[in-house]
Amino acid sequence: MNEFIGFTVSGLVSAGLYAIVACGLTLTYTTTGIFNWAHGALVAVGAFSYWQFAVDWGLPTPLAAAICLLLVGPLMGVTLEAVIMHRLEGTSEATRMVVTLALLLGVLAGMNWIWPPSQQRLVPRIAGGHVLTVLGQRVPYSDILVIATGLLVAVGLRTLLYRTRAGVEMRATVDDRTLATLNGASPSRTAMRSWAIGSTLAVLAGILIAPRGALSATTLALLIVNAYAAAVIGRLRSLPMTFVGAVILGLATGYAQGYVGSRQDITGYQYLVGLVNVLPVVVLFVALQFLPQSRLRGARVLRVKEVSSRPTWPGTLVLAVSVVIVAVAVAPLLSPGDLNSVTKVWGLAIVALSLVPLVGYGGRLSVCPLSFAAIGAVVVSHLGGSGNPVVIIWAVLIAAACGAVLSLTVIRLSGLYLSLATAAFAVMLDNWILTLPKFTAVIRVPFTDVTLYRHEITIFEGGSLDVRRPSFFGVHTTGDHAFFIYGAVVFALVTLVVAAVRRSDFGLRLIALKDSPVGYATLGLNGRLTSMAVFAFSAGLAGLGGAVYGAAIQRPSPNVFSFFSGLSILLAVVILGVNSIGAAAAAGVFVGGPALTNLFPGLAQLSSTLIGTAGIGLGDNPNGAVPAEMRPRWRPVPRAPVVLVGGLAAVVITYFLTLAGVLGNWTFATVLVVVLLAMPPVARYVAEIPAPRPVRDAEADGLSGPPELLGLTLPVTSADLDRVSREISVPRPRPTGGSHGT
Amino acid sequence: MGLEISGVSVRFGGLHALDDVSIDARGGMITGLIGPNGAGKTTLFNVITGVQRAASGRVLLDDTRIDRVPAHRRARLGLGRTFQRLELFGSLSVRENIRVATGALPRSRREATVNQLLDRVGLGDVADERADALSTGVGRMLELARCLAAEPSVLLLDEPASGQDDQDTARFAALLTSLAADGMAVLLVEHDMELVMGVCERVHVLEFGRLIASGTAEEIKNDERVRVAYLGEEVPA
Amino acid sequence: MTTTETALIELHQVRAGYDEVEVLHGIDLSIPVGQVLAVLGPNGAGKSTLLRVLAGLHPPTSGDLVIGGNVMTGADPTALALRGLCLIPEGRGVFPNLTVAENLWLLTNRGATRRDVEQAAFHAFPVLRERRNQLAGSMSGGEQQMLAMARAIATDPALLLVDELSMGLAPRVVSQLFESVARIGESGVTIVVVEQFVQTVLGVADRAVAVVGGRIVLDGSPTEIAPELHSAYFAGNPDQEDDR
Repeated sequence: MNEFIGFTVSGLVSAGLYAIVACGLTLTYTTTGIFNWAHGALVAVGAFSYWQFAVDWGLPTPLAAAICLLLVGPLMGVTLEAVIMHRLEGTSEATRMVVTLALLLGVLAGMNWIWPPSQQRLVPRIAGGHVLTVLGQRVPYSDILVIATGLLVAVGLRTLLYRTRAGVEMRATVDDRTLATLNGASPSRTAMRSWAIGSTLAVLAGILIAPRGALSATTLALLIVNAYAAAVIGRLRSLPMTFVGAVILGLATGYAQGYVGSRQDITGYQYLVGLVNVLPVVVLFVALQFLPQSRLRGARVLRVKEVSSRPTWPGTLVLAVSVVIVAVAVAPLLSPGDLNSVTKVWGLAIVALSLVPLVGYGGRLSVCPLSFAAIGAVVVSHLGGSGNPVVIIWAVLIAAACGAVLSLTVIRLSGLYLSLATAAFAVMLDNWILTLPKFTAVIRVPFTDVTLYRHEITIFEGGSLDVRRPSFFGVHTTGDHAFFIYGAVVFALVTLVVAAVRRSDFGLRLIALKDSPVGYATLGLNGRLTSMAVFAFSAGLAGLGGAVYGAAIQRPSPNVFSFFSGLSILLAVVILGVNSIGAAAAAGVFVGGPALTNLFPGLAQLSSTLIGTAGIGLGDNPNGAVPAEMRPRWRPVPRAPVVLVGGLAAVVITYFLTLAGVLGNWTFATVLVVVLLAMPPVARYVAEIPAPRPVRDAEADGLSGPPELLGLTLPVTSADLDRVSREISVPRPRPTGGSHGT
Repeated sequence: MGLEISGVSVRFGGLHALDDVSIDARGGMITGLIGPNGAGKTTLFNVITGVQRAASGRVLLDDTRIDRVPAHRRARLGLGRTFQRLELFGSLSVRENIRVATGALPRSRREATVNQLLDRVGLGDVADERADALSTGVGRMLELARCLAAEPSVLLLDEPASGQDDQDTARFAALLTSLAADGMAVLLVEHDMELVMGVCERVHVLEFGRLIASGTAEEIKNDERVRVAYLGEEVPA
Repeated sequence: MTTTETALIELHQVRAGYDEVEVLHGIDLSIPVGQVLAVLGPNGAGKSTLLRVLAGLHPPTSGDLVIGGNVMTGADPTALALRGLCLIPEGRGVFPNLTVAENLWLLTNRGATRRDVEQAAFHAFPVLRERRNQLAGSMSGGEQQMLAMARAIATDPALLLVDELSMGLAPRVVSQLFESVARIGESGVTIVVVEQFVQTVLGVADRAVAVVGGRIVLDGSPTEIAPELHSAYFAGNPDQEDDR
């Protein structure tokens, strides 16, 4: 009995924390339409800033808490709204998600800079040592504080939204934005309030979580996936239901941890202990299945159009062949250490490429690319002990089958819910399946002892896989040099496959389905089948990527396939242009490439930070950087071979001088940046080509020229002003009583 | 042959969007469906095509009940429709839009069908332009062509002439007549009365979700209840 | 053109549209203070766009919107609302997921207290008192439209714009709603009512204009123009020949 009360109390503590986090998340989502993936990262910021004030700088507890809650929280929210969220109005749901995912990654990277993870940070409990005896059970004051705060937040938010005019105004804005405007409610004021409150609640949760173990930004940010489950139970809309969800979830984890998590003697403990940790994720996955069926959606009206140009065969062939040529040329130049670390580029590039059909053409934002890669790697490790290349086909097929199964469970879902489900899948795989000890799969004839199939399955036994590099036709890819070229060849082949898919009728259908699901269905085409097919295809490619990636590392541990690593790849692809095959190659090189970390070992977070900040900027340019900015800007460069060769030579020479130790890393970086910035304008000058016109569908927007040139090199017409005024919905300044009439 | 709807009702909260509506559209002729704003015309289209479920009633296509069949299978059974608010595949070209719709045809016939349709609706000149760069009028022609590519036996058109100029409308009327002559059943929702009265053999009139009149174009033109529906109650002299 | 002194709101050669389609082809309209104007016309003629232009929700591509002698083209609709312009939009101008009381609460933006607003609204439509704590979206169409009309009553506007009040409603409810429009009109408020049905506005409006094909084709008292509407609706735009 005592035990039960103890577990109930610890369950209610979790419930309180989940409630605070989930309510904040639901509040900002309902009032602004932006699902903040970075909400967990904000919780982490709250916890760390509290540590900073209360522990590191030694301020008294109430003062530190007050600073966090009254300054850090609201300021962070207002800044987010003013700098980032404000610009997301009118963008697609996918863009909004990518931006907040990028924010998640960016905030985490930033935190690792400010608060290096190498240092252990502990926060003492508030009112530590004081206990209250409840039914014979000693309950610490700090636990009661959490439970009470959770309740208070729920009641407070409910009161705010239903008992104050500002709150009713917030709900009105959600219901009907235009009508709210007509009632004199300003949507931007509402959004500002909502972000300030949401962010403060995140900070509050951070302060309450901080004393419960050593602080870790990633753990805190991931813990929030658990709170998503509560929010989804409330259908991301209802605060009371969210609170109920938090209580159910908290109690479930409390009892599971109490009755299973600490009992090493029960049967199957080693299989269940992981499940206990991911229980909320399982709940999330199940709750998603009970969401109401979405009706067939019509075409979306977007501020910026997405570009998806059809790759040409010559272009794709040139890309594929040059990938192989570059690999062959570069391999001998690299030092053994560098060569070893760049072998993993190709696997990641294939994983990145797997996202092009799914996310780019199909518009389905899956955040678990590396989970399928992990499956591919496990299959190869399991079956390919001898380096038999055929197992790669198995890796592709099994990963594709897993993709199809996942898509079956999420097929009714779209947009945000689909992404949440894939996140749940990734975390479940990370924290449970991939940590399972070896087990034996047995298929028996039911009710008899006849065994049909018996197979021992090992997943990451001893912490890492053993992935052999393949040998075929007498070629061994065991060495780094051979494997590097082999990876490039596989990548080149996959490029051709993806290009072929985009050019096929299936490719057209993917884009058609994304553009208008209702139009698609009324033409007699089965959207769910198409959806499942693209999921399976993408998962298969990711499995292949995982097989190559795993073999590059040879002994990968589960954390190379983690949710956050997958997120980096996803974001890199989206930022560089998710509809473009070339961008996938670049994303692989960027995420997997050692260039940045080798040159700046002190700045290990650099690539994450870059991805994060670039992703946040995506609100302005959902097409990604490569198609919208880089291509038109760089188009003149090949037409001025002198500049191209000169620029490349400068970079290469500096690179080798750097390697030889003649120049410092910063000098190399400076040269690189200067050359990259200087090449396009110099090339234009040399080749006498007029200034570029970046593709932004400017003419289609009704402007007489690209926005950035208007007023500088082109005259601004009156129609342009009208157009712009309408676009940003601000009044166009006019003199009173102007010259009208006839 | 053709489309038959009997006793269809749809409610939105307290509002009767459709109340026991029964209409038909027979093969080989153009049937008009008119009524004031909010009378339930688009809702009826949604029910017929399976985008929305009716609370009660039956939808028969060539004497087969289809009201429990998912939207994409209804389309395969020969139901084609266009939308009041265009539902084009915006990031695909005009040609590709039509190509997507040929999915049910044998592979060998797809290319030829696309070219033939581009010709028939007069979109040959813009075949390689992005669909979302088209004007509304041209977009409507593309939507029609895309619909025809699936070779429907019943065609539902939701305000196809809005956004078109007089010349386009005349060409469009000729096209509709030729489709009906081929044996297709065309159900036309349209506000351009001239067009409706010009091409439709039969016209149904909806008001407040109820069917208030059915008859030939001439009968409808002179129907007292239709005058009332459009102009309010009988105008005192 | 009517003299500017007495006109509360004027449109000068207003053209407006969506994307490439122009819906309004140069509208000239002057509405004197206190007039109740009915805008009639078939579907797709541009009536609603005209009203959205008047409310500042849809900036015209060319031409001017003049309110009280000031050019207000492109002004912020929130600002117009606070200055006394009230639009009852097409469909249901209510917040469906808010209760009746909460819907009314939002009307306090022009200085009235919550109690004043409720009293005014319940006085005009007693049925709303019974529905006070019910979600607006769960009420019948007529009750929702009454709640929408309560906005016009409680905010004491200078200019009331009503779009398709009768859409999808039973005739009995429609006549009840128009009675309240008439009462508001009698109190001196300038009103623009967009309607498809001429009969419903006959007893209410001082003046009626018919919009067909984005142009004003008839202008006069409702009884004057009523007999000509039939041919105007069914035969297209009689002015078109003159324009060319």
